[in-house]
Amino acid sequence: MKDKVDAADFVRHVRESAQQYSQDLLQENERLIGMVSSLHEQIAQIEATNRAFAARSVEVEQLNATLANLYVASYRIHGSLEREEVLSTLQEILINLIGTEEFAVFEREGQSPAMKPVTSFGVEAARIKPFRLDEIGLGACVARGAPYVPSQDVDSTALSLPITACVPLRIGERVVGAIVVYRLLSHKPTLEDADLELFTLLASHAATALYCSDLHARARIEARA
Amino acid sequence: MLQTKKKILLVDDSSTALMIERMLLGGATYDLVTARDGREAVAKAESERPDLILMDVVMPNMTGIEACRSLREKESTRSIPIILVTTRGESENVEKGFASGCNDYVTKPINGLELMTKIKNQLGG
Repeated sequence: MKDKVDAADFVRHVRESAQQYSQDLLQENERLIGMVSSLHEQIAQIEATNRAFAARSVEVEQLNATLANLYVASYRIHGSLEREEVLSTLQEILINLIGTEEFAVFEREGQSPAMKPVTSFGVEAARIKPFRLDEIGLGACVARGAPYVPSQDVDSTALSLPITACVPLRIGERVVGAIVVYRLLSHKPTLEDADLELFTLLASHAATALYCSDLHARARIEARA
Repeated sequence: MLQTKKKILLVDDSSTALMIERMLLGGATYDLVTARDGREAVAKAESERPDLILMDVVMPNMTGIEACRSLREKESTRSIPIILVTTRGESENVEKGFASGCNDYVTKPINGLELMTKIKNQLGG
């Protein structure tokens, strides 16, 4: 009889121990599930932060590239007082830093509104015609005094102009010349914001460099006289 | 042990192009040497033994394509990776570049990120 009571107690004890063990395992399982879920959330947050850093890194790289272009352009355009070298450097900037295939540079004749071509690249001579600042079309575009991209101005009547961009060259408020871009390189579909920044820099710096080269040439002539 | 910097030979007849390439690649990253045409590029490649050559295509005296062929014919320069820089991205020009023996190409105006990626691909990170 006593053996039977002991056996029953033993079985009850084992059952209770097993139930407690199962409870403990279930609780531990829930705790681990919660921990895994929390880790998944942390991983997702870290991945999102990484993506944001990567996007920001690309932005910074692009900004650095833009600043490098602006620095190189301003450094090079003022690197010589010889007119031919200034024009040659301007060509290099337009080809290498912007990616233009066809362009021409015009200069104003003294105080008149007449603009004559002084250099060109990649474009047939027949296409490069002098124009006047008091004419409609290209003249009016240049007379405005700011870089202009017809394709980005949907309201403009200048859309019909066969050009990709025009960049008035200015000393102060006075227009003294213009860069007219007829076509970009075939693999460059459109001008970007960085290109317009470079155009803005060239609008004043190229004008100043050409003006200084003219002064230098005149000073040299006077020195010889 | 200090890791020596990789050396890149920049080849272009345009001072503007060389300057922007120097700004993109210089500093602490790479040692840079330059050449102004294909003929000078071949000579410098033999004397400087760069780890990579970044070379413009249209140049006086010897074009980048001609220089590339010449470099591939010489034992001492045959294995140097060459990335051509072209203003012409059309497929037939790209094919000419690869047929001359170049390893890759970039188009002008140069995209700094693209250039760095291609250089790292050729130099093994």
